[in-house]
Amino acid sequence: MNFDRIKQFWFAPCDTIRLDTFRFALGIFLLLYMHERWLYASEWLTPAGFHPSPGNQPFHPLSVPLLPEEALPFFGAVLFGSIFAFTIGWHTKWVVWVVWACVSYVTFADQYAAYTLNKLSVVSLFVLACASKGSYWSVTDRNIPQQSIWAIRILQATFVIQYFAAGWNKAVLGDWLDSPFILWTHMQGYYRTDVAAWLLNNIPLKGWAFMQISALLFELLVPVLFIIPSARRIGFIWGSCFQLMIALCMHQLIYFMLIMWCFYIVFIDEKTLHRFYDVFIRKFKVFR
Amino acid sequence: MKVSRKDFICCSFFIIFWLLPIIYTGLTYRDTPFLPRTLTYLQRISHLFTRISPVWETIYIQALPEGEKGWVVLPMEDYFRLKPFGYRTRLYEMLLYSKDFKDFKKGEEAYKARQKELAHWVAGRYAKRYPQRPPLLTVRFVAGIYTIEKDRTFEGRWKDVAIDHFEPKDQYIFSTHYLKNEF
Repeated sequence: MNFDRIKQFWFAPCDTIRLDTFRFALGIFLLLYMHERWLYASEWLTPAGFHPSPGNQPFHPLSVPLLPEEALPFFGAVLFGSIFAFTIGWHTKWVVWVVWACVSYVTFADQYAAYTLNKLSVVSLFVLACASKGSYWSVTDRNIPQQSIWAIRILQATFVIQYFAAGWNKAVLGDWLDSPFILWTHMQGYYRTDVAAWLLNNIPLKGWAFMQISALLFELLVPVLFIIPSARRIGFIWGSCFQLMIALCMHQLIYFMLIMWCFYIVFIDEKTLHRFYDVFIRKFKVFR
Repeated sequence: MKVSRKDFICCSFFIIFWLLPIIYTGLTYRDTPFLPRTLTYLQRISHLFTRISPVWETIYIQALPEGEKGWVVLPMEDYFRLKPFGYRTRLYEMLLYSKDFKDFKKGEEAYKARQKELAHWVAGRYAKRYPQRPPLLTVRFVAGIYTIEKDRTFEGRWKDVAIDHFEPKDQYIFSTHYLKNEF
């Protein structure tokens, strides 16, 4: 076994721009996602909404106390203030832990409103908290031009495993190979948007079968599409179309699209990210 | 190439407690053994929309107020407004998706206990909101079952419909709670 190559793969020094850009994008996602939930904060996080008692939830992952209603404005200020500071890179070394604690709290406070997006957010924030921080997309200059690539590798591996396992579950543990109409049935229920309704009325069943095969193939081929650099462009285009369809056809799954697009960033080469960053800075003159 | 101890420890931590478990859980739909429930819960990220959905449900809270002879449908927005995923409320998650697979008997008992607790909460909320009205004697949770049909035409996005839209054979009662007897 070539330990040097393994060490190089997991720990080589790299430009901080990829992880910084991921941090910036994740922050914007969290602002939007948490805002959506916050509109119903009383039901979500306080006893004003129904939350089963811990004794009636024996398999709940972690019971945390709910907030009193009077504390909501304070918690909201901490939640959104810390996410904003995290997004603009203000004292990220400490702020990221506050964001991680807040997002973890809301995930466990109400299991009935927490999904894969919450779990990916909690883990991604923990990765960012443990990694060193750069100065891109940041109001603070840390003068750290390079960092160990391990955090990028963890996020890349998470993306590949999550997608491939999703496809595996559908094909092997689910029944996506038994019927060509699974996707068609999913579009009809309480996720159905106006766009989905139009497509259901105008696309024949064969068209839905084609979309189902395409979605399943994409998920199963993600390891090839994103590990092989020359295939990544196909992966970005195919994946973006896949995510966009989900966002247009299934209500509120736009947040799933947004967080997966955050993960796409860790596969973009540094040169391209630098070009984008330079154009953004010249235009908006916000960050250094 | 020198690797700092912090980077080595952090990377190893994530490989052992995150990447390897999500591979195992993702491919087998089982929790990684010996890890706490908090971690195994976070590691379930790949099990969405895996099976055909031949039916979809609209859930209703029905009640029998004192002195009334027929069931009354309580407005859902008085009790559940947050719709975290799709056009369904948290109540859908509680009634349709929260039966725990880990221990069927314990999970089934807890599932029933949660519904009983919910029924009492609904009655208490109703009394607080409408103090001038007679109290609720019975509360039940009902689903209207919508079956997938090949030639159906859709009028826009999903919308909840009145329970009268469903024939009795297309209604499913999760549970009925006679509140006075349950104290």
